[in-house]
Amino acid sequence: MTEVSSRAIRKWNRAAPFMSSNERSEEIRYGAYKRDVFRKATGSTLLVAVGTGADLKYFPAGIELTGIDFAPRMLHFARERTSECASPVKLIEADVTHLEFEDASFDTVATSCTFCSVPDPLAGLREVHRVLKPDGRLLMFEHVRPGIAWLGLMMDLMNPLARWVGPEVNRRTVDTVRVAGFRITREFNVFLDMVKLLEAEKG
Amino acid sequence: MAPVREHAIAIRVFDYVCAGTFGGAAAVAAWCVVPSALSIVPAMLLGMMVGIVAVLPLLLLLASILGGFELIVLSMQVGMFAGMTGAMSGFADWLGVARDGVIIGLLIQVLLHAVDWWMGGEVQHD
Repeated sequence: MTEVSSRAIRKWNRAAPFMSSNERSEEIRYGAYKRDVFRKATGSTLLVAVGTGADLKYFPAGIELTGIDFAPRMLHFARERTSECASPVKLIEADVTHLEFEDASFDTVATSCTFCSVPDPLAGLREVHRVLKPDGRLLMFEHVRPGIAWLGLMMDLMNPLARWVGPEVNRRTVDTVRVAGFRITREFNVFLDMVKLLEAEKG
Repeated sequence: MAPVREHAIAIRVFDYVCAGTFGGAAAVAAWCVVPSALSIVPAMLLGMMVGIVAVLPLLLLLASILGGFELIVLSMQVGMFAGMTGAMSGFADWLGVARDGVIIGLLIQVLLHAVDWWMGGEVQHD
């Protein structure tokens, strides 16, 4: 495990109780959008950065869901929420940049505010590309650096503080998804062009 | 079809209340802290900084009720502009400064909603 990863794990372990107590806000603001994108999961599904398990309830019945997270304390909270999912859930401690699954293992990979916190997002998305089946689908709910110049600059200025306590707020995740080898089939702006739903296939 | 958010009106009302609160607090804080002897540019810059610092505790408090990226973006912008307004204000009492701050906050929220309405929804790819 790299030093960057172990620092990130410590940070997210510390954040887990706060995130667990703050889920209601996320659900009220973004629950409908998450449900809209995650209901499209089919077959064997990998949820990257399951966190405290708050998003498990948005997945449909009839899938096999595997949730991973690199922070053990997040998984501790998530284990208490597996019954909220309509499908069986398996939770594994793992880092998205070093997945131990075989190539083309999953029909769907889902992420929810994940690539703002992965230390090396391109490496993570390349691993997602590797474990996704050729006809598989990537479903994402992510926040990204806004394209509006003024807001983008503001996020750049805020990022050192944001990164210290939690996620990075100026990631260019849409571009990174493309660089990792995906073709974006749907992009939906939830708030400005900052909070987005993305659907992608292997390009 | 676009997903429909439950409680959409309540969320909007909450955001407007937050905008006014951020604006009033930032303007009054800058009016209290920035010395009137400062010339325009340093007063504006100091006012912006004081405004941002003043909205941070309010952001934490209000985000614990109904947080989200909307509040983060709103608070920083309102903090800057209302702080600048408060620092430049010629009012002798804090009530006038607070009223101006609230108006600035609400105007920024209207602008954000307009931009959000314009940008929101499906993005067309060629």
